[in-house]
Amino acid sequence: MNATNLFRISRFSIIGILTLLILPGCNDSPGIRNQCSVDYDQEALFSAILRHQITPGYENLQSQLDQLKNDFDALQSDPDLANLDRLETTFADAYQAWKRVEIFHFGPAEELQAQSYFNLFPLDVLTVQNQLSSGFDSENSTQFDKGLPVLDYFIFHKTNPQDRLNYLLQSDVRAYFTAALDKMRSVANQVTEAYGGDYGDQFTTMTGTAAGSSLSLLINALSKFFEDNRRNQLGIPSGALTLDIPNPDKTEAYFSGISLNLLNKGVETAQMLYEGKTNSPGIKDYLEALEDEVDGEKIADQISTQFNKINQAIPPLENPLSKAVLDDKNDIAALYREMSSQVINLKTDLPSRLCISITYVDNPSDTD
Amino acid sequence: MKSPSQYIDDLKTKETSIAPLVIFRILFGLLMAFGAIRFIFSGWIEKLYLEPDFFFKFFGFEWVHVPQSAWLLYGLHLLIATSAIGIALGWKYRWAAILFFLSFSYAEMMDATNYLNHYYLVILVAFLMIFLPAHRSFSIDAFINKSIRQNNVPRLYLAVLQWQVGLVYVFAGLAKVNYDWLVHAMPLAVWLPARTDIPGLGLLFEQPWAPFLMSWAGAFYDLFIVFLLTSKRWWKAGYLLVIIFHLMTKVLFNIGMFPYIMICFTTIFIPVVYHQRSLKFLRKLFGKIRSVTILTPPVNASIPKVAPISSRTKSLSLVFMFFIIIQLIAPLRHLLYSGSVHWNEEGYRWSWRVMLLEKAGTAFFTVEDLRSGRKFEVENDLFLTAYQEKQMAFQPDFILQFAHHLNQHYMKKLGSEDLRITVRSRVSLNGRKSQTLIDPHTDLTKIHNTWLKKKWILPYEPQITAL
Repeated sequence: MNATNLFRISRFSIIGILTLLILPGCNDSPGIRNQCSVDYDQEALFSAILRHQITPGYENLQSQLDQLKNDFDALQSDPDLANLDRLETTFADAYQAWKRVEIFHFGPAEELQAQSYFNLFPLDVLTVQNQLSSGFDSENSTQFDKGLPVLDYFIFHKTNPQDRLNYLLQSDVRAYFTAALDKMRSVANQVTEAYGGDYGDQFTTMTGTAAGSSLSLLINALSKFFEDNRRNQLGIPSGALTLDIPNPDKTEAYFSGISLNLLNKGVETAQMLYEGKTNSPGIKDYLEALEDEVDGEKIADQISTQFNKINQAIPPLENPLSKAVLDDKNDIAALYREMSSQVINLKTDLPSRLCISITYVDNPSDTD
Repeated sequence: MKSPSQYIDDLKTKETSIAPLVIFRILFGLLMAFGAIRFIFSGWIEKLYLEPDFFFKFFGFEWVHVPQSAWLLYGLHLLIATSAIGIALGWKYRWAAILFFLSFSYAEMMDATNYLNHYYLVILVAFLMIFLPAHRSFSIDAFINKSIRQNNVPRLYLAVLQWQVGLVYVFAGLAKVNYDWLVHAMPLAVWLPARTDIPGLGLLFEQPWAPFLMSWAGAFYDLFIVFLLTSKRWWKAGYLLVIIFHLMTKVLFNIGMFPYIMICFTTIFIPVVYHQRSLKFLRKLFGKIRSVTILTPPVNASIPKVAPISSRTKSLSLVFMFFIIIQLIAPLRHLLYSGSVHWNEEGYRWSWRVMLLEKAGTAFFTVEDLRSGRKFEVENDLFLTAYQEKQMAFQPDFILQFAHHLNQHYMKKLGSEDLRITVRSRVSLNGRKSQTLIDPHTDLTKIHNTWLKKKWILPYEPQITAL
């Protein structure tokens, strides 16, 4: 063997030895480690969220909608104020039941466009009035003319209870009401069914951090839900996003005035997805497991703290929000600020730390 | 070892076969034509240029206008495709090269959101192509005009392309020599697990050490590939690596034309004799069709003459030298600014920092009418597409441009000339906890973009160092 060959061999072996030295070192030493990988049972997390949040959420929604249907039928056959009262209570319950599952906007809910059949607001009242005579066709509707907002309008837009009752007894109102409600019931049934079947299994097993994995779906859903609530429940009604001109009529559930309950429910739902329930893990558990092994500032508790700040900023508000946005500007602004901070946490910090990209902002072209 | 002046002298006086330039011309033209046609059929013209209402600009090129007409936009891209075909055929070559350079550059400057390093490389190479005698053999021009035919060219023309392609790799490699890339395997640790769906390779990407292997391999590849390619002994292994590496990145990432561009551009390093053989092969291929036989004057027919240096070569060598010197300085200009280039992005573009960072940000703009006291937040998506907003959120000069646009818009809308615009911006860099990017108290309407240090960008703590 001559000198050049020897030199050549030693050059390769140095590179080989270096590589061998580096690779195992990556997993052991505290500084050098893969900050995106953690030993955590994702399937258990997804299964817990499915069993304790998604499935009970949809089952509750189903039963609330059935109850709403029963109450409405009872009112039609036996029109009195007690039945109207019952209908009104059930409606509020059903709206809040929706708020619990609205966050899970992926999979079957996304496919069936649940969001648009349940809760696009503010309602386009003019369109609804024009459509009343011709009848509501859920398949051809693209406007803000359906879902819980239109029921909200039908049940509550008259001030006097007797007027409300009479309005609901009109045949065209009854038809529209029933069509919108039936569409929601059918969507809720289909989503529940999907989670009980193949999609539920798929959801629990789609591990990893890739786009389309259940973790990515949940993080994107949480972030988008919270960002949308900040905008729709508060930003637009308060004028914070509309040239400082309040739009009290654009609050959620404007006619029934349960907007503050819904705001509360939204925050609660987001917090529940993040923190989990008693004896049932949430996203935070996964995040904590990951952060336990990473240097640098942790964000797991920071997000919880921010949820608590928001929860503290809600009680001072006047009920309903449509009044608060006019009379209570400082408190509204304070809540809006806290919610904005949480948008940053949920949209920028949480996905970055979990090594997940926000897929609802997708690159239309190439990258490099 | 030659002295630099001897090296430069040799580039001017010694000749080499024109074949590599001809092959480069053909590959470049065909690839660019394909790229432009791909762009036309991808629907990106609507998505990128007709749907948005606002476009970000590069410093100094604010005048570039995006025609809001599908006809003009498609026309522009057709012009790119046509001139690229002109380059490939060597048909009215100089005009084709000039037209390509202008139309391609214009298209890339319409919206800085879509900045890609490899498009910048195409612009630079297209500029050089204008001056290269790449059409003096195996071209329509040479077929029509015998007097321009040439079999040999000064080495200078080959060398300038080699330098351009080579320095891209070396700077891309140097940029990877940083803490996050080597010690944390970021951002590959984020990107690789996202591709575990790839058959076979996916299994590899699931391993926690895979990003480290790939980060180090990538850094080594970029740093040393040019030295392999220019070595007489190792160039074959080098070119094989080029193909493997770029095809791998093609599988992994959504990077469009980049792998093909680099695979074609690096042919400029392959020894001349292989180019001559390829041309011979092409000549045979075309020779079968009678009429075009004459298109292909025999390659390598005459022995290189040691010709006196023409004045053209002399002046071009100065132009090229100046060009390369600028290319050597530009990627380092960030050193003139304090703070980290990864954070403040001052000197980040035009520097071959490819796939280096995973950034995400949020930016809330507040407009305050100082006359009426009215104060409100802006809904960014009323002005920007989701992708523009995402890009804007972590690029300070985009944030400033957007603030100025908002100023114009709301001055008109509110009928007020006294607006104050501030931004609450948080950016997360390679998975770190987010920090505030822009000083939230700075009235952005009072700030103008310059080459000077942007004092309204808050520094990242602790400091990140990068080459």
